[in-house]
Amino acid sequence: MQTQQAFTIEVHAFDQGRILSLHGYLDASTSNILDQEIQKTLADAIHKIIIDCTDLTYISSAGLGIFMKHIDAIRKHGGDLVFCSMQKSVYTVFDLLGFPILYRIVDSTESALSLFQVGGES
Amino acid sequence: MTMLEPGIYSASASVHELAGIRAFVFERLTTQGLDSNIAQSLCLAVDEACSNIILHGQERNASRLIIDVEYSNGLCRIRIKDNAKTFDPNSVKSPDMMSYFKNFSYGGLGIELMRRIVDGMIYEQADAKNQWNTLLLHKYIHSPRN
Repeated sequence: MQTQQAFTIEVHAFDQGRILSLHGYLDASTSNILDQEIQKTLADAIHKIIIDCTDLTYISSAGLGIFMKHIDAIRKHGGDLVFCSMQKSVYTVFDLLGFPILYRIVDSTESALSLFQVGGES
Repeated sequence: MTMLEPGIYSASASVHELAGIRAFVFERLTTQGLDSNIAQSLCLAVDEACSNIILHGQERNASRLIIDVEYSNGLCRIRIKDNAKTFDPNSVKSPDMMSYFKNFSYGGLGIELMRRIVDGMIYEQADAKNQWNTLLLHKYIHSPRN
């Protein structure tokens, strides 16, 4: 299951938002990379964020904690974190603690983009 | 890391060892016939236990982790030994997740994840005869929680 590939983030822009595509595993050794990228995104006054999980192979509570650390500030600025294309094993971890109540999780990048267009969050 | 003998893995108490620890636990469980989805969830429980020891080890002075894994007769037993100061994860109360979400709390979910994955956590603290704290995680594979 877990590959030994570590963790990287590809960044793409859309409208006034940003897609962060996560690759590899998100644990206590790599979660700081995600934390820094989200901080950088917020510093650029971007609050519409899509987390593309297509190539995210693993997440632990250290990764979940980074999203929780920033979600309040993101929503206070009228934005949101929308997750897309999660592998089943990653979704299972979100689901185990009830995170689907808090976050919008959709099956594709297109669906995530349409949520921002329809929802009108800035 | 060091493989002391088949089924026993020794690593320094560093977050950079977590991927190797997960790979070891997954390989041991699946080669003994455990379903890969259940093995993955147990890897997460072990990751959380080890992360907890490592990240709180700065004040608890952990330097080494030793992990052994057994799966037979429908029972998984994973033993994690550490030489940090004593800390029993059973002493941590479960969070109210609705309040957690409402207040946008973060952190402190590792032990709760462990609790939701395994059927039991038994902690034995180091003493004069034994320098290692031991956390035993067990999971019954034929239990209704699978």
